[in-house]
Formats: sequence, C-alpha cells, structure tokens
Amino acid sequence: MLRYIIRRLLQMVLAFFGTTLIVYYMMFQASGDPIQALAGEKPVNEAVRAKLTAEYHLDEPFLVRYWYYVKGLLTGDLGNSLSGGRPIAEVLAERWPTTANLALYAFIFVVILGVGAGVIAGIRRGGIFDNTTLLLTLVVIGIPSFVLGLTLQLGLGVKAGIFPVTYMEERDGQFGLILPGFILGSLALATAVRLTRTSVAENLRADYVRTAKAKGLAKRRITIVHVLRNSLIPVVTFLGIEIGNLMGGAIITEGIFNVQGVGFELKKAIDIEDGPMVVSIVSILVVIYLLANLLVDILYAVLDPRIRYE
Amino acid sequence: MRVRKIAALVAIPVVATAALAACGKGEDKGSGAGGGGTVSIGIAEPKHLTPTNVNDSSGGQVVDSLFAGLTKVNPGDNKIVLDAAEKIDTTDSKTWTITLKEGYTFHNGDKVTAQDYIDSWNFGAYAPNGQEGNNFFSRIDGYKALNPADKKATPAAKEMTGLKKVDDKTFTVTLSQPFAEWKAVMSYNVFYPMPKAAFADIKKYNEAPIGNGPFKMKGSWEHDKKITVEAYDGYKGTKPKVKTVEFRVYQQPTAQYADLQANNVDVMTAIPTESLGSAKGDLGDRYKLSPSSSFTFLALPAYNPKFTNPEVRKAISMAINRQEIVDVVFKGTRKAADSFVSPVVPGYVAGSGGDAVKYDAKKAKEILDAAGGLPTGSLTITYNQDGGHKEWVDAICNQLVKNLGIKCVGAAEPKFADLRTKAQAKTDIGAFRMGWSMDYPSMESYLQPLYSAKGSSNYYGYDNPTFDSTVAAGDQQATSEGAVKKYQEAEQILVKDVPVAPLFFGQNVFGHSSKVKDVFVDARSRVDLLKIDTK
Repeated sequence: MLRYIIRRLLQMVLAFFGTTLIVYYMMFQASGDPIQALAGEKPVNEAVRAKLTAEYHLDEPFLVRYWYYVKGLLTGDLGNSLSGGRPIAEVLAERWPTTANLALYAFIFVVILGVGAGVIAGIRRGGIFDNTTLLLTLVVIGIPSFVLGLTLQLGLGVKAGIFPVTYMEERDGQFGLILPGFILGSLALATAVRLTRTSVAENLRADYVRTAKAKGLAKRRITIVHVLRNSLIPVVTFLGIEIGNLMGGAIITEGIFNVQGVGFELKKAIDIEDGPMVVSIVSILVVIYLLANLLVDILYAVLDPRIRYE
Repeated sequence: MRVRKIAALVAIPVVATAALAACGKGEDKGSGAGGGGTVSIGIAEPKHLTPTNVNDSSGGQVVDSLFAGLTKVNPGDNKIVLDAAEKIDTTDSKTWTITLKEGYTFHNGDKVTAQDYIDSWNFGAYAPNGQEGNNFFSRIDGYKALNPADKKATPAAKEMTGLKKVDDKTFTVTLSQPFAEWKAVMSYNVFYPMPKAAFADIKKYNEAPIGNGPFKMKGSWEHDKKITVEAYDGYKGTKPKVKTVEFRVYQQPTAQYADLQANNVDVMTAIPTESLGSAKGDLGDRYKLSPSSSFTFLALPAYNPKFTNPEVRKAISMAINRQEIVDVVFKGTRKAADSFVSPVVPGYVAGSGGDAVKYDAKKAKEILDAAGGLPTGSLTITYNQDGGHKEWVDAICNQLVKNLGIKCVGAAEPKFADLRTKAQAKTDIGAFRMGWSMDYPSMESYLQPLYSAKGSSNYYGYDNPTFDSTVAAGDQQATSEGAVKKYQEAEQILVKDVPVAPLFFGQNVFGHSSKVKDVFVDARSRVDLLKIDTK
C-alpha cells in the first residue's frame, strides 16, 4: 500500500509539471499582448509597460519565464497578480475558504438528497418515487447549470425574495450560500441519484442478498449493512472525484451569485488575461484533483477488502 | 423575514443551524427615513486606489469620493470649475500659478499644502514607480528627465523642474509647451494630492487611501467585496447628503442587474446590453439615461490601399444609416454621431461632422462611383468579440452591401488587444471598430489622441500636418475659449478627410433602487456623490 501511494505521488509530480507547462504556455504564448489586455481599450503608458515587462520577465524567452515561475513555485512564491500587483497567495487565501464553504453545501446536497433519493428509488424500483426522480434528474441533467442558476435566481431571489439574490457574507452569512450550493451541486446530485439507484437495484438481486433473506435476517439489516455497503463503492468513486470538481470553484455559479470564491477570481483573471493568476489557480486545482483521485483509490481498498494495491 | 425562515426550514436537513443564525443579519439596514443614510453603488474591482495609479472607471469612482482636486468637472454641464484651488492664473497658458483654498485637510488631520501636490505629481511622473497616470504629467516641464528613453536606465531626476513651490498655499506649474486646456487636465484624478504618510508605504496606502475629499475610508479595501467610505466631517467643500457610501464589487453585470431588480443595490451605472430590451419594463421609472462621453467610430485606416482616397472613406461613412441601428440594435440607448467629438465637451456643435455623417444612400453611391469604386469591391469590418459589437457591425455591413453594392463581412478578433496589435502592424484587417471616452472635458481630449499623427490611439495612421498644427495652435491660446475656436477649425479638416466614420455617442443607461433619489451619472459614468440622497 505504501509503495503504491509513493508511486502515485511521483506520478503526480510529473502530471503537475506537465499541466502547468501547458497552461503557462497557453496563457503567455498565445495571448498577444498581456499588458494591453489588462488595460482594455485605453493605451498603456510606457512607464507601466516597462515596469510590468521587467517584473514579469515578459521580454525574455518562454522557457526562461517558465523557469522563473517554477523557481518561485518551489520556493513557495506564487508571484503577484498582473492586475493590481497583489500577492497571489494572499488573494487565494482569501478566496478558498468561501469556495470550500460553498462546496460543502453542494456536497451535502449531493450526499443527503442525491444518495438518499437514489437508495429509496433503488429499493422501490418501478414505483412512483422512482419514476418521479427519474424525470426530475433527467430535467436537471438536461438543463445547463447557468440556465438553472439564472432561473432560480430570478424566481426565488428577485421575484419571491426567499433567497438572497447575490451573496454578501456580512449580510447573508451562511444562508446566502444555500441556493448557490444547490445549483453547484445539482448536476452531481442528479448523477448521484441515478448511480446509487442502479447500484442498489442491482445489489438487491445479488445472490448474497437472497442468502441473507433465506437465513431470516431482518430486511432493514440486509439493506443497511449488506446492500448499501456494496452499492456505495461506485458512488464513493464518483463523490471523491466530485470533491475535486467542487473545490475548483464554480466559474458559472459563483459568477451568477457574485460569490467571491476561486471560480470568481479565475473568471476575472481569464477575462483580463492575468496570466500569473490563472496559472497559479489552475496549478493548485490540478493538485487538488490529483489528490482527490488518490484518495478515492485508497478508499476503494478500505471499502472493499478484495481490492489490493501492490 | 418569515418567508426566509420558512425557506430555511425547507432547506434544512442540510443547514439548519447555520442558516437560522445567519438569518438575523439579513435585514437591510442603512437607508433610514428622511435622507442622510447609506447608499450602495455597484462597481467592478478597481485595479488600484492610489490616485496617480488610477485609470479605470471603478477606481476613478472611488477616488473621486476620497479626494478633492484643484479643479473639477461640473457634473451637469461638464464645465471646469475650481474645487480645492482658490484661483488658477496664467497669461500665456505655459506658466500657471495655483493658489489653494484655506482649510482643506487630509483625513489624518494634516493640512493640504502646495508641497503635497508637488510631491504627488513627482511621484506619479517618476518612471520607475510605473504609475498608470504617468503620461498625464508629460506636459510639465522636466518630465523627460524622470522618464528617460532607455527604459532600463535610472532617471536623472526625481523632481520635475516645472513644479515650484512659492509658499505653503501657492505653487507654479510650468509646461514645456503652452496648453490652454491645462485646467481641464488637472481635473483628472491623477492630479489629486497625497499626504506625506502615503509615500512612506505606498502599498499600504493603496489599501486605505487618505484623501482630502468629502468622504474618507471606513476600514480598508475589502478586495473583490466592497469599499466603504463615510462623510468626512472636516471637509471644507460642498458636503455630501449621504453619510456612507458602499461601493460593492460585482464581477458580472448580470449579477449586479439582478440585485438592482431586487432593490438590493442602490445604483448601477451601466445596465448590461442583454438586459436593455427588458430594463424599462423591469425598472419602470428607476430606469434612467444621461449623456456619456463615449464615442464609437469606424476606423478607415489610411495605411490600407482601399481607404487611401478620402472620397471612398466619405462614401462609406455616408452610406451608414446610424439612426436605424440606434433604434433597432441599441433600442434608443445611444445617439447617432454627427461630429468627430462627443457632445459633452465644450465646443461641440451639432451637425459639425457635415455631409459625411449624414445618411444619404444615393449620394454615397454617386461619390463612390465617381471615385472609381472601392478597390477590390469588398470590405471587412473587424471588431473585438468580447464587447458585444457583432450585432451592429453586421448591421452596418448589411447597409453597406445594400447602399453601395459592395461586399462586406464582419470579422471578429478575440480581444481589443489583438485588434490593436494587428492594426499597429498594419495588417489588412479592413475597417475596424474603435471606442473612446474622454479623460477631461475638452475637444482636445478627442482630437489629439485620436486624430493627430502621434496620437496615442491613432492606430489607423491618419497623418495630416495641417490638422496637427491647427490643434497645436489651439493649445497655444491664452484662453480656453480661444483654444476651442482653433479646435473647431481643426475638426473641419477632419470633415474633409474623414479619417474615421463617426458612428454613435454613448449614453449612460443606469438604474437605481427605490430607496434613493437625485441620482445622476455624469459624462465619465460616475455617480454624483454630492447630490445623491436616501429617501
């Protein structure tokens, strides 16, 4: 097991440098004039141009710049934002808690509503509940999340006034994150329902369930201890990867509700071509994603003793 | 409140405790009865808040509340009036003697002195500081010594020779060339004074600027969230009616618009294009229009063999039915341009653009035929994709196809920076879309940057020495009125040359909540904070 983890960690290092190189290349090489992009349509004066060029080594070859970036990264320095010049680490430290908070709500929705509904639908396969959830989940999967987000914002926020229209921490507190959290989690929620339902339905027909029934075990015990535990393996995989997705911040949801998280920052950085900021955020997202994947693989072995890593 | 609680209960399984605890804070405080309350204004995240480093409209809106300049633009008529200056005298438009009003203090209690202005301007002009407002100081004598041609060299001086202190409340500014509109230039936010405390740690200062204006910072800049300012009791100028202003940061205009609809944000200065169709219905009498200085035009680059003949350029400009596009595409939120400068500046004369801006399809076709037609017979109009320009560019193309019998297609570049790079390299991108808004209310703020040979935004290579010398002659005048006459003369040269086809004058399409009154958005798209009040 330990050897497996170490091997995976080494692979991660490789994947990390590969992806950052690609992102760095796309951000700096493909964009024509990052300094002008920052200023919009007004011309940039020479003093600003000279200062930014020197600070970000914009006049040096690409690989040299990448080297500067990696060097900074390895010494724990993410550099400064191209727009405004704030230290990127400081900005991210402000944004990540909000994203984590939002992701938590989304995740809770997915686990409780998604897995819960999936289990019920699986047990009562073919019933009204099953068919209703099938329909609802299809609708959610079929609608792009920005449509769902804007519709609920208009309906429940602007018109009905039940939920805050946009998120303002000091005014709304945690309440302001419920609707965005639901939107963010909606797609995963629907998928979780479908996945759990299928898995539960399948396991209910497995041989060991019949044996357990024949043995005279209580139905509740069969469902909770035997069926659920076995059914949740694919669901856990899905949830694990989903954590990675949710932590990445949600460009769309955070934009709609003005939630000042990582997705909000990333969108802003992309819009104004703030290269250092984009590269830093994406690099960290890559790490989160890789770690989430590793965690899922390890959880497999824990949940299912038949799985061994060597 | 009750509805909210019910909602929270519905959502409960998940968030019971947190939601209910937070609910208590949900009440909208602020705007109480009878005025003098709190207003919230939506902005984008500013880049900087150090006045010499502010060149974006969001940052400008915030620093305008914190500082008082020597002169200011009167929001209604865009005339230049004295603000923190007692008087500003000149006889030759080259040496300006500025006397400060008594009694102005910084928010930390320090008296505002002539030296503070001089220090701030030198700081702004010093190249290694890399301030965004750097180029605004370039007219002052001695600027070159602070900005050597070799960008890597250390400048020979740190102070401009053109700035001289006479006494604590008087100083003189000597320009390298006379400039009649200098008073207007000084209204721009980069000329605001900064206290001594600023230069000790400019990074810290940027987070909570200490100004000399009607409002002072309440706490520091909460990045990406908000900036709060409150009325400064020690302010000697006109006092604002509201007590507190909260500048709320929105990243997407759609989110801000949703908040405006729900009465959650008090002022939104620019309603997003996609909501223009429904805004009137959504907002009712909370929907307002006011003139803005923005000016959209079609550049017809002289470096492109297609446009070397001014008659061809004129024909293209004449064949565009601006009013139709304003009505159909912009739903009346812009105005058809009839001049080469915005109507908000003194010296604008309605219809001064002459025939070239008057729609006449038949005459346009005749002129084009007489000029031998458009070389190659096909035209490309390039625009930047991120600004919502596709619809009107396509509309213009259709009109040109119909009226001139030429081929025309719109071509998109991802960003304005890409368009600019190609134009500067004289790549064949056909005609292209440009926009401009003034830095200070003067015809010169359009004529020089857009049409002079060395203009900072003249990416289309227009070069007419007579035009340049006429503008320069205007600059040399002893009075602003004299200058305007020369500028108007210069504009008439443009009418003959048609270097660009003027298209639209912008308007601020803004909305406000039902909790505020007397909302006015000025020509530079900033809310007049001295006038606005809560109900």
